[in-house]
Amino acid sequence: MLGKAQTKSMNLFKSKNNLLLFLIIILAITLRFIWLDKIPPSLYSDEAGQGYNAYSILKTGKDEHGVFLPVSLRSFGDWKPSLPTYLMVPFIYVFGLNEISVRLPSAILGVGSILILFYLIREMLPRIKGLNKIALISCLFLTVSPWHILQSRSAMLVIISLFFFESGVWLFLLGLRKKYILILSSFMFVLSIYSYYGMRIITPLFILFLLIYYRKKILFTGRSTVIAVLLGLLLMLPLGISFLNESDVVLGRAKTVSVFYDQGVRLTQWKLITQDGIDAPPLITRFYHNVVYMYANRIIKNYLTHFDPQYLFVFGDTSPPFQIPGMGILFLTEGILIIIGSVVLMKHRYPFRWLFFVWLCLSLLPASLTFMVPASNRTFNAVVIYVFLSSLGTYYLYRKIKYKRVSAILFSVILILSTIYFMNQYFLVLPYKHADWWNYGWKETVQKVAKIQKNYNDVIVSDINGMPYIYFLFYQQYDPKKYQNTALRTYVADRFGFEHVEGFDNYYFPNNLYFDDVIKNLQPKTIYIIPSSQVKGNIRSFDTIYYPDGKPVNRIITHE
Amino acid sequence: MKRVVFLALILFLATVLRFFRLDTVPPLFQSSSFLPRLVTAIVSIVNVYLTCRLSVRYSDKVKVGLLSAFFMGILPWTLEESRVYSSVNNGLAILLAGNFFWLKFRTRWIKIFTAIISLSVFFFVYQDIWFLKNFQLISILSFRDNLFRLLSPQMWFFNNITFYHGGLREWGMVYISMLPLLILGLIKSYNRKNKFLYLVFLILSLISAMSPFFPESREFFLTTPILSFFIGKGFYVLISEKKVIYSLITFILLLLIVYEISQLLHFYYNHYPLNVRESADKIYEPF
Repeated sequence: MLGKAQTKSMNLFKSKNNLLLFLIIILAITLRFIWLDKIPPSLYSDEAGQGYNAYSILKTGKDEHGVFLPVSLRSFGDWKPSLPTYLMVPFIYVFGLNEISVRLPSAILGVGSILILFYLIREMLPRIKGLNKIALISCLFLTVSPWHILQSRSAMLVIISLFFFESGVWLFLLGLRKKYILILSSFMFVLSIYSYYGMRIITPLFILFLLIYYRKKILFTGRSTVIAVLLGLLLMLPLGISFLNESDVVLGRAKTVSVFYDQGVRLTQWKLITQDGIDAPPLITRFYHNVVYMYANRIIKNYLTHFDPQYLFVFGDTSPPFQIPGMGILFLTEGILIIIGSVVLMKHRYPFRWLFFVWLCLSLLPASLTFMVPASNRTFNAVVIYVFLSSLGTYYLYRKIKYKRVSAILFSVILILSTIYFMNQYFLVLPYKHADWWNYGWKETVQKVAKIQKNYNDVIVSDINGMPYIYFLFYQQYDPKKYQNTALRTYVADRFGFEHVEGFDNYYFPNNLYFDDVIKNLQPKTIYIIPSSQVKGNIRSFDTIYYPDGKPVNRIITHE
Repeated sequence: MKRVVFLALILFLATVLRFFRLDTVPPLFQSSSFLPRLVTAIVSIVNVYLTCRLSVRYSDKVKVGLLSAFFMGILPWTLEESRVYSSVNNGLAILLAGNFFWLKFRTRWIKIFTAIISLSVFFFVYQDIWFLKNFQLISILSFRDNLFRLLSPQMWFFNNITFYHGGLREWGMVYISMLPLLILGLIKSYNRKNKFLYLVFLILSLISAMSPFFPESREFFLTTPILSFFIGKGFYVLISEKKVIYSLITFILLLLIVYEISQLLHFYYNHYPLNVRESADKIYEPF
């Protein structure tokens, strides 16, 4: 006789939807967990930084700067939102400080975001025909989405914020029917703000939109809404207080990547005013060449860059860790499907269409305020909308097309081939040919140095190519308490806004260490680590670290 | 009567924009002469008129026709092409006239005859079209890249580089403030009658993307009447709404459009001639 649990699980899979969803989740887990420690080929400096800070909090309750349970992590002077780091703590406790424990929260919540999407779409589109099919297709598309897989397999903050944001929206919609769930929704939205910088703009604006758009239904929820809002404000208090103590907590890196930090606009203004000549009336010159118009133009240009087909389908992001070699962030076939889905959405005047429209528009806003565009990580929230529109387009086409079976097979073949191409590029080409995008080489360097270190007094590392100090801390699992007390820092930011570490213990990380200077002044009993690209001539070195494709990364030079 | 007055005003505006300082902006170089430029300016006014007539035909609304003509008269790209010697601008007039007569005549054989004549004259006038100038097939990847570049927001609203050294490369094909109108018009225009416009737009995009000279290739200019139609239709939809919020949006958009036009005119008469003078040695075609 079958037990209750067995009967229940069998009943669960009797529903075709549940079975298909289960299979999709299995696929999602496979694509996100397999070789998680090796692909991407190395921890990026941000990942190592978060991992070490999580380790430091686990061991001492303080981050690398000695701040007790920080609301924001100062890290490299970029003041990272802290929640993704805190999520790593239990994994580091169980699995130790390594690549797996750093990336596991992203992988798990990446899968979670796919599951949430299914319920979110069903809640958003309650009475539409083919609802379950659209939801399942969306989940499938998100599962194999190159953009989503890239972010799920790295600790870059945005997948965490997406999960909480999606949950917040889903629970909000659920809460319109079941009042007290609104409180949970508020909690999720707050967690999204603690997960990523951009959510500090997106989440409040989106909540405002939800409150206005659903104002009639909100009125009936009464006390629950009030509690939800108060809870949200209460949970935001720590961030608010931190901001009052240190404005960089909220503004953080925003200052150095902001479009207002870039001098290009001012230079263009100067050029145009000069061309107008000294005889031009100042009022006319100001009317036409004013910074308000010029910055507005620039911001709109940045915003629309994210719709550039070359960015979406051919080249993708230009920042190395967010690039997938040989492709964009979406499959080429998705382009047509997105257009069809958009037309269907607008043409049928579905009431929920504004929800998607506002979600998409707000997702692109934070990135538009920076000068590094297009940016796939800063606009990551948009992946849900693109995937939904693709699935809507797919479903609509399927209903309209005559030869359904043939079309379905053809489409499946195209999707499979696209996914195989992506997997080749991501799992084979990226780690082999583009390991440099992920600051490859530091783990191997640290391990090599660790073997010989006891025979030398000092280790001098050229502070180029990522933040080498963090890799020494991470891979040596350096005692956080000792580091907090011995770290040499000036807290002076470089031109990109990053704060470097001068050294700790017997490790030194000079910013302008050049090979010519090193060779002239070799110190006894010292290990030097210099990028191989700088090394000239035949210098005898202890070891050379290579990229997987055989090109040299770092040279380890020893001097007795 | 009111419609005639409005059309006259629109044509008058188009005339002023095309003839004001036509001999000096852009500067005439030794290799260029004024007469071809004058002809292009006159033809472009005809284009504005034909855009109006055709838009009325496709939308069955006079207001849409008038609005389309207005936008056709003020777009950055039409302004740029109407003030230099432009074979594509002149060829466009032939196509528009051909389309107009195609719609006018009901007899099939007359329609076909009209199409043959207008296409023949078109290719005679616009001999710079890439497959007549230098036929060569490009790779599928180049075609894809060209097409994506052609459809990019950069090209449409910020940097039209189809005539890099002699054109308004600091401006797009249309004004950025027209984007909401364009999207609205694209969505609202779609019906059985207007499918033709979408098809023509698609074909012209593909032809332009296939050009081996891309982006220095102005075939896509032939879509400007279609773009004007969509923008005009979008504006018409907006002003037809009775709610206060739509009136407010319309008002704000109008202000922005007017400001952008003034920006363009200031740039065109003050900065553009300086840029063109710097690149004079790189302009090889009649200007």
